[in-house]
Amino acid sequence: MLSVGVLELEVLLAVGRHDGEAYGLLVRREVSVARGREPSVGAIYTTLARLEDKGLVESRTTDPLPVRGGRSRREYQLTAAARDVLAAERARAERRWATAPSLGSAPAPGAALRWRQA
Amino acid sequence: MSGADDAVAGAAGRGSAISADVAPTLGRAARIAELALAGLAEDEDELLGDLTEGRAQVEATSGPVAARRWWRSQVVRAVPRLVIHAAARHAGWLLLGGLAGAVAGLAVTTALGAGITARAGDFPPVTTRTFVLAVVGHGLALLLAGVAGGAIAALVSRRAPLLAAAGLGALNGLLWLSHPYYSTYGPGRPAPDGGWVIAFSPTSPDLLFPVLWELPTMAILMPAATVLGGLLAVGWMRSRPRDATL
Repeated sequence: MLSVGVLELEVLLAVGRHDGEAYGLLVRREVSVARGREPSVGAIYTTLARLEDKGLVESRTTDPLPVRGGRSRREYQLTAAARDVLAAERARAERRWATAPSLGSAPAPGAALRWRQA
Repeated sequence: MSGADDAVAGAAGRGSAISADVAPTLGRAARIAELALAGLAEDEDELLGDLTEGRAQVEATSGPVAARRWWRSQVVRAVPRLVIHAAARHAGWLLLGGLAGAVAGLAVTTALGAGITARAGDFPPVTTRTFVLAVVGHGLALLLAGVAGGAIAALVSRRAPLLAAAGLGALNGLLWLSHPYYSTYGPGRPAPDGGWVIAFSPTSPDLLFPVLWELPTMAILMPAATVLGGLLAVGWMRSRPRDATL
């Protein structure tokens, strides 16, 4: 089973949400929302290329678009291997959280610092 | 997220509904930056297209100044990613390109250096003419070699062509930094007719180069000339019809 990093996982999920129509800027937006900070266009570009190398996504190019200065888009979709990877990642996460202790609600800001000082 | 990034994110999510229909026009500096990115990316349509589309979206919502700032920051942030990505993915091609560029550069310096061999008296006096010939002629020969080497490196490597040229440029800079203190003139070699011959080629031992020339010019201009050669090759490759390139 292929292993993927955190950013790769987020990108795979973003591609999966727009399967067949996902392209760099759209994936970047999805990842930005999920992570709370925006990766660069270059980071998404290189991550998508890496995932394609691993056989986890496949792509096709569109016709040239005026808004892109006459350049085409590369649109991505998940492969069967990617679906296996995502399923395995989900199962792993569920196993991890199934054995986690109950942590209650999220701590207030500064709570950890006060606990350390005490 | 910044306001500009919010604009890009929102527009991408709405299928570019708020974006301008046509890509914004770029200034000269931006076009050079685009050329450099094209030389580092494998699919320039994908990367430059995303940057252009994102810029158009920011411009439609936040104005041209914010759009320029967003575009510049994305270009700066993309470069290290592209370099690492290409180096990891195409090390063999980059090495091959760098090697071919180094051979081409050496061929140019040897050819030009052989052309400016000077004849002197029994022992070479340091005349203004020979000094200028050595310093300027040798320097120009090296810079031409840098341009040629960078162009060949880019053409041979093909994948991320500018990276091969930049790597060779860095190597050239290090090479010339490693011996910036040549300040001897001669020894030359005796000519068959009893005179004395001094070769002004980079591989010649007969070198006279003031430190203040060697350091700023060769350590800075040589890498710059090599990268320029790479950029020229990238521009040439981009100007060719798509189906004629790999």
